[in-house]
Amino acid sequence: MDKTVLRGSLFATALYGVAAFMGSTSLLVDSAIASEKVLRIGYPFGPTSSVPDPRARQNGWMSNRAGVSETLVGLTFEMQQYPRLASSYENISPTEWKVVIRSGVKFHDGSIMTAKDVKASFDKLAVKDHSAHNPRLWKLLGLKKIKVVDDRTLIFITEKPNSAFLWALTEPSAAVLKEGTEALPIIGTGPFIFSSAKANKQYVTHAFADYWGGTPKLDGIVLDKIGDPSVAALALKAGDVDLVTNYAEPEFAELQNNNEGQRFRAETLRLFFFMVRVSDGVLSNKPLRQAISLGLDRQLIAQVALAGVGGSPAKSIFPVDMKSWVNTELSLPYDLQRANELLDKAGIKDTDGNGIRELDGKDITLKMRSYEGRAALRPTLEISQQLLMKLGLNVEIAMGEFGANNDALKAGEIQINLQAWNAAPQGHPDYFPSTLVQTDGGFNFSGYSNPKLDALLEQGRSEFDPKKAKPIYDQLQAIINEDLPIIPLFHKAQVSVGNGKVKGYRIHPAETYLATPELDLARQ
Amino acid sequence: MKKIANGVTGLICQRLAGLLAVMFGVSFLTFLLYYFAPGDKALAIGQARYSGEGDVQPEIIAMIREEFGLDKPFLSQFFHWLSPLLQGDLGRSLVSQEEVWLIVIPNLQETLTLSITALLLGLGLAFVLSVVSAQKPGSLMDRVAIGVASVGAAVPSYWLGLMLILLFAATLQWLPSYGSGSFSHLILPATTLALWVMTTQTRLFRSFLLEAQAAPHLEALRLRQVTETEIFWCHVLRHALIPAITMIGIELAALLEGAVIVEVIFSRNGIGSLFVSSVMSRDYPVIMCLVLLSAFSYVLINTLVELLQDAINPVKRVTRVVV
Repeated sequence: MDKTVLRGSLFATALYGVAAFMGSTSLLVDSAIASEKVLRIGYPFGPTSSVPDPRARQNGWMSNRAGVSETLVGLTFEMQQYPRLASSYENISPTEWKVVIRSGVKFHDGSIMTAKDVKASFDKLAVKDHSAHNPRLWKLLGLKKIKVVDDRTLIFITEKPNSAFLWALTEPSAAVLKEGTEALPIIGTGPFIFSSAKANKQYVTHAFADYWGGTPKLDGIVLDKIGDPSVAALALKAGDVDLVTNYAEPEFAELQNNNEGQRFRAETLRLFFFMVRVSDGVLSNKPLRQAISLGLDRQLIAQVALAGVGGSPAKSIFPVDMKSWVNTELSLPYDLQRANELLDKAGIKDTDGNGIRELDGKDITLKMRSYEGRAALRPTLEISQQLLMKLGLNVEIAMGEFGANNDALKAGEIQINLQAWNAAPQGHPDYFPSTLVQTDGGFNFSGYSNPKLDALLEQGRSEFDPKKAKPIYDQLQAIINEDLPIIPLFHKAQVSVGNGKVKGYRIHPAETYLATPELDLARQ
Repeated sequence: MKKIANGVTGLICQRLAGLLAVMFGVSFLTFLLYYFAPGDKALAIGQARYSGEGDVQPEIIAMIREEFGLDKPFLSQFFHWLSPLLQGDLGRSLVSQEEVWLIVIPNLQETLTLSITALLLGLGLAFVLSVVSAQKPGSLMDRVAIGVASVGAAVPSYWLGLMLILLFAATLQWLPSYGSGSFSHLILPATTLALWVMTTQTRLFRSFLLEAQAAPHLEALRLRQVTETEIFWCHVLRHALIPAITMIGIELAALLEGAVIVEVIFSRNGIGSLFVSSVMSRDYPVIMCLVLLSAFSYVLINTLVELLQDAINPVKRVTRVVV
C-alpha cells in the first residue's frame, strides 16, 4: 500500500514538474515578445468575432480604441467635433453636407484614400448581406445618397434635415474602410494595423509606419479581455499586462490613499439611471416619482458603489463636463424632508401603521431590477433599496437579464429598471432622449409620452446652429428632471492603472478612443 | 466471447437509438423554450444582430420576421429550424455572423482541455488521498486526508482561483495570471478545478474502497497466499471502480458545463462562458446549439459509463451472456 501512495505522489510531482518547466518556457517566449515594445492592455470586453468589421454592430468601438479604424469627424476630450479623416466639412443646404477629405491618407494596404473609397465604405452600411451592414448607423446618419465630386470631395445627402449628422459621423461605426483581403482582413487608416482577433478574448494590432498622423511609437498593442477586475489588478501586479483600463474602484481608492501606482481617472458620459414605468402602475403618480428622486442620496450611492472614485452625482442626464450641452442650472438634490412632505401632500400616507405608505388604499411595493455586466449596478440597486425604504416604500430588488428586464418594465411587471448607458456616444444630445423618452423611441419602455418633449427633439434635430440648439436641449433636460421618466443617479468615471511605464495615455469621456501614435511604453 | 461482443454491440445500438430519441426530445424542448421566451423575438434578434443596446427599425424587424418565419405557426417554425439542423447546419451567430460550429468548436476544445486535465489531476489526488485514508480508517493519516478533502470542499473556486493567481502569478511570477494557449496557462485553472474534483471524489472513493475491502471473498484470496498488492490492484480497486466510474462520468459532464467561474476568473474561453455571453446577448442560434450539445454530452457520457461498467463488472458481463 505504501508503494501505491509513493507512486501516486511521484506521479503528481512529475506532473507539476512538467507543468513548471512548460510554464517557464512560455514565460521566455513571452519575454521575447515583450522586447518588441508592445503595449499589453487588460480590457473588460473582447471582440465579437475573429474578423469584427468595424462598421457592424458596435465593433467600431473596439477598433477605434485600438487605433485600427478612423472616422471622418472625431471628438476631442472636451467632446467637441474635430476634422479627423476629413479636412473640412460644411452644410451647403438643409439636407446636404460637403465633406473634403484629408490628402495623403493611406490605407493599411498602402493605397491612398479617395472620395470614392469613402463612398464605397459608407454604401456598405445599407447592403444587407455585407459584413458592414448597420441599419442603426444608417438611420442615425439619415442618409439618402452620397455623391463624389472629385478625388477629395463628397456630398452626403440626407433624407431630411439632420443637425446631428456631423455628430453621427463621429460614431466609431462610421469608419472608413477598404474591402479586406485574406492577408489584411480589416483595412483601415489608423495608426495600428489589425493583426488578429480571438472572439471574446483578444484583439492584436501592429504599428502602421505610414500613418498620416506620424509613425506610432509602439510596435503594437494587444487588448486582452480580462472580465474580472480583481484578476486584472493581479495581472498588472504580475507584469502580465502594462495597463488596466477599467480598474476595480475599491483597489483604485486604496492606491489613491497610499499615493501608489500610475493612476488615470476621468469622468465619462456613462450615466447610471432608473428607467421608470410611468404610463401605468404606482409610478404613474408624478409626486411619488419626484419624492423618490428627492429620497436618493446620490453622493452616498456613488461613494459606496464606486468607492468614492468612480462617479459623481448626476444633476441631469448629461455630466457637467459636457459643457456644450449640459443645462448647468439643474440639480437633483437629496432632501428627505421635502420628499416626505411631497408624499404627505399627495395623500400617499401610511394609514395602517405598518410602516409602508399607501396609494389608492394599497401598500406601495416597488419592484426594481438591474442586470449583471457592470460591477456597480448591484450595489447601486441595494443602496437605493435601503434609501427608498426610508421613505416608507416597500422595495423588492432582483438581478435579471438586460432584455428580459426591459420586457418586464414594458409589461408593467416591474416599476424600475436600473441601467447604465453612454448618454451621448456621438457627443450630440439627441441620441439618449430620442432613444429612451421620445414617444416612439426604440427603448422607451417606461411608456412615457410628452408631445412637448417630442416637439423639442424634432426641433433640436432641425436646428443647425449649436447656439440656437442649446436652449432647446436645456428645456428638454429640465422636462426630464421634472417628469422623471428616467431618474439620473450618477455619471461614471473611468479609472485606469498603468505599470509606471505607460506614456501618452489619457481616458476619453466618450470611452471610444485609446490608441494614438503618441501612446508609448518607456523602456527601463 | 462472441456472445459478449454481440451483447456489447446490441447495447451500443440500443444506446444510439436512445440517444437519437433523447436528442429529438431535447431539440423539441429547446425550441419550445425559445418559442415561449418572453419578449418580441424579432426585436431581440435585431438587437443581437445589429445594435447591441441600440434601436431597431420596424423594416428590419419585418425582415427578421420573414427570415426566421416568426409569424408562422409553431410546428412550421419548429421544422423551419429543424430541417437545416438535421443537415448539420446550426445557423450563424446573430452577434458575430460566423457559423455557430466555428464558434462552438474552439470553445469546446478549450473546455475539454481544461476539464480533462482537471479531472485527471483531481482524480489522481483523490486516489492518493482515499487510498491513504482507506488503508487505516480512523488513523491520523485518514483524519488528515478527510480533513484536507473537507477543507477543500468549503473553499469556493472563485476565492481559490484568486489566491492561486496572487501566489503563483502576482507574487512568485512563475505562471501567467490569465489567458490560454500554452500549457503554463492551463496549470492554475486546472488546479483550481482539480481541487474541487479532488474534494468531491476523495470521500466517495474512500467509502467505495472501504466497502470493497470488506468483501468476504478477499479472505479466501488471502488464504490462497495472494499478496496484498495483488488483492488491492486486481480485486479491491476493480470492485471500487464500478460505482466510482458513474461518479466520474457525472463529474466530467458537470465540468463541461460548470467551469464557467474558473473560465471567467482566468479569462479563458469555454462552453460555460460562451453560454453566459450568448444568453446576455440573446444569441439564440448559439444558445440552442449549446443546449443540444449539453444534452448530447450527458447522454454520451452516460452511455460510455454504462459500457465501461459492463467491461469491468464480471457480474453484468455474465448476466448479459446468460441472457
